[in-house]
Amino acid sequence: SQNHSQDSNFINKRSISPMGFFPFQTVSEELLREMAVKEGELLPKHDYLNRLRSGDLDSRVRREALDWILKAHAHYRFGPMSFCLSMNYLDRFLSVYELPKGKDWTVQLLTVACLSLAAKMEESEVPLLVELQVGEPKYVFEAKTIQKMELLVLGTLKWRMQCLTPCSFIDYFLTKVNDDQLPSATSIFRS
Amino acid sequence: MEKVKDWNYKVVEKIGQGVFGEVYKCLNLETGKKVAIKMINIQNEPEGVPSYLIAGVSLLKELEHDNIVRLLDVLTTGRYVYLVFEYLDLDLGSFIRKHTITSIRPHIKTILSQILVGLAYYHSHNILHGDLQPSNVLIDLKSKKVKLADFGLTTSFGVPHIEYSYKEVGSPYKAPESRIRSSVYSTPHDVWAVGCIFAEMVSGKPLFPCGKKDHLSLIVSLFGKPTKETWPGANYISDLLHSHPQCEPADLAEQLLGLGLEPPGVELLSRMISLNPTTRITARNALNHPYFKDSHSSLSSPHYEAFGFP
Repeated sequence: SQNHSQDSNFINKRSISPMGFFPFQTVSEELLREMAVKEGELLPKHDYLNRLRSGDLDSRVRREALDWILKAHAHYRFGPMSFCLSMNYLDRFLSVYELPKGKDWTVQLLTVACLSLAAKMEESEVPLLVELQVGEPKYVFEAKTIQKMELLVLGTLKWRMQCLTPCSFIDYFLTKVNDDQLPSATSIFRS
Repeated sequence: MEKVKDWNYKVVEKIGQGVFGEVYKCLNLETGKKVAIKMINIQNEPEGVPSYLIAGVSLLKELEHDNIVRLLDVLTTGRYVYLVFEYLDLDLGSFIRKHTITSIRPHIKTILSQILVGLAYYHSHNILHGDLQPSNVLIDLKSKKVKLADFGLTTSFGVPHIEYSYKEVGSPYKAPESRIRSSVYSTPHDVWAVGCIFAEMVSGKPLFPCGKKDHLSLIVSLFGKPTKETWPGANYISDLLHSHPQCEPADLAEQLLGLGLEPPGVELLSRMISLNPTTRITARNALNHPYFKDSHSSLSSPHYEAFGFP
């Protein structure tokens, strides 16, 4: 759209970020070291897993979210990075923000917002927000409502959305085990 | 500006108008420090928070370097996203306008090397700045620190109807390859802009001034008529070049030497504004150029070792 092309000044020039999932990109060792530090900063709070196990956090909530994300993800054939990112956003958010109990629509809204944010970070084509909500969900949200939730997630995660997930490191290690030859795209997906 | 939670800033003045909103100089009431706040209107966005904003801001959040202005904070309301940037009072454009070339001369090396250090950081992270020009280079005179900024103040990209295959519009610091429609451009594009800035510091005026002549004519008069050997891009615009008369390249070196630039500086500049982007020097290599090896530089230069990762 015209809007987006006008803003090439702001983002298109930067869309070759090393943090994202971009095959065939060389990652220097220095950059890898920096990436490893950042990966640690961009994880859920350390007590998150224990709280899920102990039932302090409802693990059903996470499982339902995961199920829906997998469904929508498969439906739109998003890449592996979008899936990793959306779960990272969801876990980081749940580990610091308490959603009101007994209102299952908030969980669903959060899940949609996380997938939408991840898709916007990673996918070249992002479905309309209304169409993103596949699988006959109980509630369907308007774009305006999702925007509010997106802003809450962005703020809570301090806009640090360029997370490093296993996908970010695959290129580097595949290159290393491959005698410094750049891996082919298929080997990345196979992995 | 509307009321925002955690709003600790006092607006001093509007300093720019970007494509997506205004930029204000503000004062942080807690720290007393100046900041630049870019307001981005999101209330009419039909599809939630736009992806350019999510990707752009999250990238800025990861950049941390002494020679790049920091994105300090992001505040939101339902209608606007406010990007709070570090700010320095002076930009290189005003610095050049307000001073004579003789008084600028002793500062050129330190300014240029810090621009290159900041740029090398961008490029090592596979990021293009894309809009380098004197007004995006901020200077703190006291600490002699230079920081690259990008508030999107001046240029608007993406003109809807490009009828010519050579884009005359946009910043005069844009490299020739980026003006050719559908050509891919990359990190050398930024180095070209630094070359233009370098020449401007030496001569006090833009290397490619807007107005009188179109950019391609300026290129032809500076370099002579490019051939596909000197500039691969010439292939794509041979029709356009055809109308330009054959001419001798201007002796830029002679002019710059006359203005007091040392011979290694002239050599470095010529490699920064190489027409062919593939032979243009990289930011990192430029820093190792003999021009910067001069120990008689009148300024202390802590920026040399500052180069690297935070």
